[in-house]
This record gives sequence, C-alpha cells and structure tokens, in this order.
Amino acid sequence: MTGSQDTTTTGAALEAAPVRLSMRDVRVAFGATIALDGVDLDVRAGEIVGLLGHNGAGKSTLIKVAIGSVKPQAGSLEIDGRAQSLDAGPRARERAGIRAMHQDPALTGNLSIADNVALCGPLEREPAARRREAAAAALARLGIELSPDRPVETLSVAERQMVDLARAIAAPLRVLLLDEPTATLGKHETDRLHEILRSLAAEGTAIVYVSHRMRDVVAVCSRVVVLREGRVVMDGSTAGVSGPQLSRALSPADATVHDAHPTTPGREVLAVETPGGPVALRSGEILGLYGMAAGPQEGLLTSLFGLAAPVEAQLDGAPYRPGSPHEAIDCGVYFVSADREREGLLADMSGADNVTLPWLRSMCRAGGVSHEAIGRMYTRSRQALHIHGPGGEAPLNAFSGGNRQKHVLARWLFGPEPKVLLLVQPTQGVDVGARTDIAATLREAAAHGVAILVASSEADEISLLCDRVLIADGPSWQEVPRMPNWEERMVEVLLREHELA
Amino acid sequence: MKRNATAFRYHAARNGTLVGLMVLIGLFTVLNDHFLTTRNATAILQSAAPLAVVVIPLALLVITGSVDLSIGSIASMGGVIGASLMGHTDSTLAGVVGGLAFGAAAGGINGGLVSYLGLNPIVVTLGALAVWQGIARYATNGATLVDVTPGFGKFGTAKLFGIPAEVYVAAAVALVAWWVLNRRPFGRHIYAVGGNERAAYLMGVRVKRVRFILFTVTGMAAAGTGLMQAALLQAAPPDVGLGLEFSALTIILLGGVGFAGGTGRVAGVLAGLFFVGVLQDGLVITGTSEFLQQVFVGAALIVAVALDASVARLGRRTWGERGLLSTTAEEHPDRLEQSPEPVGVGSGREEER
Repeated sequence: MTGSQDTTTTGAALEAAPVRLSMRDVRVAFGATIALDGVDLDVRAGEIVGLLGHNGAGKSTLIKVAIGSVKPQAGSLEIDGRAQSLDAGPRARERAGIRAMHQDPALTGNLSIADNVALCGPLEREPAARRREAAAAALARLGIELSPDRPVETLSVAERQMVDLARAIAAPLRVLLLDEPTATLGKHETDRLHEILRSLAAEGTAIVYVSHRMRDVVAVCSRVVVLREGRVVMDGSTAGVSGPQLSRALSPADATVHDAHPTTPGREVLAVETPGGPVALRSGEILGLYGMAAGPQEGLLTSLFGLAAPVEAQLDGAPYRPGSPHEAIDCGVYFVSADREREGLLADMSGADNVTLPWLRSMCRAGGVSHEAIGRMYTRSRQALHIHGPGGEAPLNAFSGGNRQKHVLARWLFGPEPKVLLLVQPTQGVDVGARTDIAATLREAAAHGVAILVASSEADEISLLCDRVLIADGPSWQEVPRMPNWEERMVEVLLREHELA
Repeated sequence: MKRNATAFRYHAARNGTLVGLMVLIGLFTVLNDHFLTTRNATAILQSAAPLAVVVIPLALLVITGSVDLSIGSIASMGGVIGASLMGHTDSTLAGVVGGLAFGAAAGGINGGLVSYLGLNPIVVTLGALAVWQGIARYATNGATLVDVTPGFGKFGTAKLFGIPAEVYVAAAVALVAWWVLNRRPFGRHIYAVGGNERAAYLMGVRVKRVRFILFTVTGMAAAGTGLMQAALLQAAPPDVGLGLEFSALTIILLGGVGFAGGTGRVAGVLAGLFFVGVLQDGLVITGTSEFLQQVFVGAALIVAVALDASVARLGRRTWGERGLLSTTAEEHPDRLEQSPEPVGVGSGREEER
C-alpha cells in the first residue's frame, strides 16, 4: 500500500496543519429515524479522511449537511475557524469554499464543458473567453485532455465526474467532499483520481472521501472515520488500523449469529455457471451472496431475472435463459430489487393491487378479476407478514415505509408458489420488527421447499436470513459456514479478498 | 367540523369538472327555456358521441403516460377510406371495416415506433398528424367524398327509443373501457405502466405491448370517429378531424387524467366530455358569440389544472397523507446512502431493446 506509507511519513506534519472543516455535535433526524446522532468531524488542511460505514450509517447525510443540502436539527459547522450558518444552502457553502464531487454529476448535457464548469459558480458572469480559459486551466490542473468546448453529453460517466471535479476546483477550494467517487470508475481511472486527490491535498485542501470500497480508502486516505448508526465509532490514522479492528467497527452493534432453525435442503433447483465458479441452489435453503455494494452478487441476481446479460444456468435440470422479467416469472423465478421504493412499488395504486398485480390473469372469472381471489391473497399476506396500516383499498403511499416493503415481498410469496426467490438486500431500510417478520416468513417459505438467494452487502442481513454464505468480489466465491462471530468472519474474508487485512 | 369542511372541498375539487358541469346546467336552464329539453339533450348527446369514441381510448393511452396527437388525421383518413371503399364496392360493411382497419394499422405504426423503437410519442404522432392529413388531402384533391352508401347515411340519422344510434356506439365504448380498466388485468397493467413503468416491468407487465395495444385501439377508434362524422354528414371531407386532438386532450385533462400518467377514470373523462358539450351548446342557444366558446373552454381548462394542483395539498391537509417522495426522505435515511442505480446492470435494458 503505497498510499498508507506516504501518509505515515506525512502524519506528523498533518498534526500541525490548521483545521479546515470542523463539524460539531451534528444531529439530523428524518421523522422518527435518527440519521446523525451527535457527530464531530475535524478535517485538517492537506488531510484526506476516509468515511466508512454500512448502508444507513449516516455517511451521505453527513456529506449533505456539509454541502448544505440537508439542514441539521442541531450542531455547528466552521470553515477555517469561521462559523457558517446552518440555514445556508449549497450556493452559500460553495462560496465559502466547500464543494463536492458527485457520484452522479448533475451536469447540463448540451452545454460545453467550459459552460458547465462555470455554471452557478463565481465564473458565471465572466465573459465566454474568460470562462473557457478558467475551465481549460482547471482541466489542465487535473491533467485531463479534453477540449473545454466539447458538449458534456458526448462524455463518458468517468469523464463527467472529472468535469464535476474540474468545476469544484475552478474556484478557490477549501474543502472537497467525494461521495462514492469510484463506484463507476475502472482501476486506471481510480488511480488517476487518487493522484489528483493527493496533489489537491498537498496544496492544502481538506478532503473527505466516502466509499464502500475499503481498498480505495486505504490507498488514498490518511485517516479513517467509521460511522455506525449515526455515531462515530472509530477515528484513527489509516496506518494504525488493522483488518480485524476495521471489521469489528464496521459490523453492526448487535453482531451476534441469529440462531435460526436450520432448514432442510432438498434437490438442486438452480445451477449457475458464474465467472467466479459454479453456484448451486437447493430447494428449501436460503443461500447468501455477500459482497461489496453493487458487486457481482447483485449482477448475478439481475441476470437470473432477465434484466442483464444472461448467464449459463439450469433450472430443474433444463436450460434457463430468461430474456425479460415476465419470462422469468413464468418459470417461477421471482425477484425483489434493492430499491423497492422506486422499482418495486406502485405508490398510487392500492395495497391489494400491489400484491396481486402479477397474478391477476389467474384470478379471472367470466366478468373479470375476482375480488374474492384478490381478497384471499391480500388477507393472507397481511396476516403472515403482519402488515399494518389502512385498508387494502388505500393507496400504497398511505402505508409506512416498512409496511410498503412488506407488500413487495408478499407479492412474490403468496401468489403461485415460487421455485426460486431472488432477493437483493431484502431487509434494508426496514425497522427491526419488520426485519424479524420478513426473516420468519422467508424461513417458512424455505420450509415449504422454496429456494431462496439473498444478495447483500451487509453481513448482519446475511446472518439474519441465510443458512450459508458465498463471499464474492475475489476471483472466486468462497463459502463460509455458520459459526460463532459469523458476521465478523464474513467481513474479514471480504477485506482479505481486497488485500486489506 | 373543520375537517369535514376541508373534506368537502377536497371532494369538490377532485370532481371539479362534475361540479362545473352541474353549475353550467343550472346556469343555462335559468338563462334559456330551451336548454333543458329532450330535444336539446339529444342534440348534445349526438354531437358528443363521435368525440367520445376516440376520447375514451385516448384517455387510457394517456393513463399509461403516453399520448397520440395524430387522431385527427387518422379520423379524416378513416372517413375518406370508408367513403371511397363504399363508392367503389357499394358495400357499407367493406367501407366500415376498411376504415377501421386503416385506423388500427396507423395506430399500430405509431405504437410500434413509440414502444419498440423507443421514440418520443409526441414527436412520432405529431409527424403522423401531418403525414395522414397530407395524404387525405392529396388522395381526394381536397374535395369532399359524397358517394357514401344510403345504408351508411341512414345510420347517421337513425334513432332507437328516440336516442341517436351514435350514442349507443359511444356508450358501448365507454362501458367496455370502464370494464377493462376496472375489472380486467389489462386495466391494472395500464395504471401500473403509467404509475411506475420500471416497477411494472419488474412485475412481469409487458410494458411495450400494453402501449402498443392502446396505440392500435386508439388509432382504430379515431378512424371510427371519422366514419361516424361521415355518417352524420353523409359525406367525408378530407379534413373532418382537423383539431380533433386539441378538443380530445382538453376533455381528457378536464376529466382529471394526468399527463404524468397513472391517474384517471372513465367517469371523469365523461364529465369532461359533457362539460365541453354543454358549454358549447349552452353558448349557442343563449346566443353568445362562438368565438367566446374557445375563451370559456380554455379558461375552464386552466381552472381545472389549477384545482388539480391544489387537490393533493387539500388531501394532505385533510388526511395527513404523505407523498412517496416525502416519506422516502423521512423514513428511509438509508435511501440517501444508496447509489442511484442499485441494480446497475439491469436498469435501462428494457428501454434499450
């Protein structure tokens, strides 16, 4: 790790550097959910701080507080010792020198790079020639060979991110925030970005780097801050952190193995040839696929539902190559996306509609869809999953978040019996009670012989739901059997595959 | 007490067009003795019927979040083709079937281009609007075809129990549309596609096929409107459908069908249809300048849209209903943590194919 060696040598010098960004006792609550529970964060000039934590730990919320797009309920924010108003929006923060590079840059496609760099910034009122010059200078500083006149819509995502970064550095910059900057970048582009960040830090910029990819964090950051449930649980120099320490900090607070009743696997239902080796799924078992966010485990599930490039697979011994979701559904293979709010729900339609929609054809009588059949399936769904809220005729957005998500699961569990259930992060964004309900229902489905595949980037979700786990993101899948400290062990194996421990 | 008052306002605003319709009927009844008569009511129904035939299928298409601007030209072509087939074969059936078949084909082309090639529906159907209008005029040299069969002409004036035949056709279209929308799986699919296309696709709904079918049906219905006009006039002018898309979309929007897709009811569309029909009829019999009709219809549309925007607010105030967006932010802080495309590889494929 060249990055960590660099940082140990400069570590002492950083101690003396002035604090650029100081956030104190930041509290943010969304309704009843506390996203940030008194977070302190100091970033010194020239420092690159890696911000880690699992989904929902509050990383992005903290970034949003810093750039002014989320207003905290309490706390303070200082830049170079000057207090900033918490009511100020993103524009005021940009003027104060805090800028962000976004994962999905919001650029205007039909404008040129130069116009995008100047947009809404201090350069906006400058004449065109001056704007072009400034953009060219920013691009040159980043070592990017793109003409400032090129329209942004002709650029790749990686190039757009670089334009977003050029925009951030085109005006005087004090604090740079990066939210998952490498999610869409290849290895070469990632290395290039890290070079740029190091040179920006050397010029005295304070940098906060949010990432799921621990390898990247270790490579470029001088300090690591770990968030868990809205609190800072670890804060130390990258060089002094060991793999096990990091995995303990990243595991959720109640890191215990859930004593689930073991299921009794039957015959093999699904056999898939993946680049990482064969994956076999038997009826009545719940198999976890654990990996980094957006890792190969999610790609495999979308492929098996006909949403991505097909994989070599056999379902009940016959070749299985679905070209679209309805073909997969006809084969008894059902899929629950991670983003249920946007990809799983019909918010304006009723709860009953949301549960029964794929099965209406089988519920028809002469006069049309049978309301009794709909009622039967919906009543069963509500009882089994303990769905609370208004009646089944109410639009789904009148239900609370956890209950909305239960509708998605009920849809696939209580219609025609599934052969294979593909679930991506099925308990994410769901409260503790709902998690338990979902786990119990999945276990019951498995007991009826359903084969269940759970893809997740959260070790606690795997340990709550699964019988065994395959860990992804290395050259091959590695199986880790259920054991004491299972979650910690999973994180450790994943980190090792990333050459971090 | 206060809640009841807001609840009343919510329902009044939600069914604003219906309320407006009743106000209009009351107003014209007071202003003119001839308004509330069987004869006048029949006249209103008869002039609304051909419009209803195309407006209702088009409303279903708008519920899926799409639109067809070419209905006027397809109606003109449908009339012209029907009349010329009748002139050549002397067969009413051949003319009607030929006209409808053309409409289905023209709608199918629109649907294929929009659904399977992924082209923008506004652009495609705006193009089709010009193309079919041009062809209708070119083929007839701009002249009205008058050689419709006597049987066809009779249909235009026929009455059953004192009600014009066209009204039965329109009523049948409305009934079938209501049945499909509320009682058939396809109806749920229509709402699902308009409400959340991606989620519908992931539930196994064949999104492209749903829209393709509705484009085809709308095209056929537009030709049906053209044929009905030809029967009423006992002739087929090549520009009979001129401006049809404007009146149809005005009615649909007045009827509470949202352009964003996912919302709308057949009853609402009928309320919109009668609102416009009664307004025009009432203005004529009270002797108001026909130029002012447009002013009133346009103003009513703007009022309806303004009411529509305030409905959601009123509803929230009444029942504390939360929109999807506000709850995702409030109850799912982890949403903020997520990458915008969690299924990465998967998303966008449906649109690509």
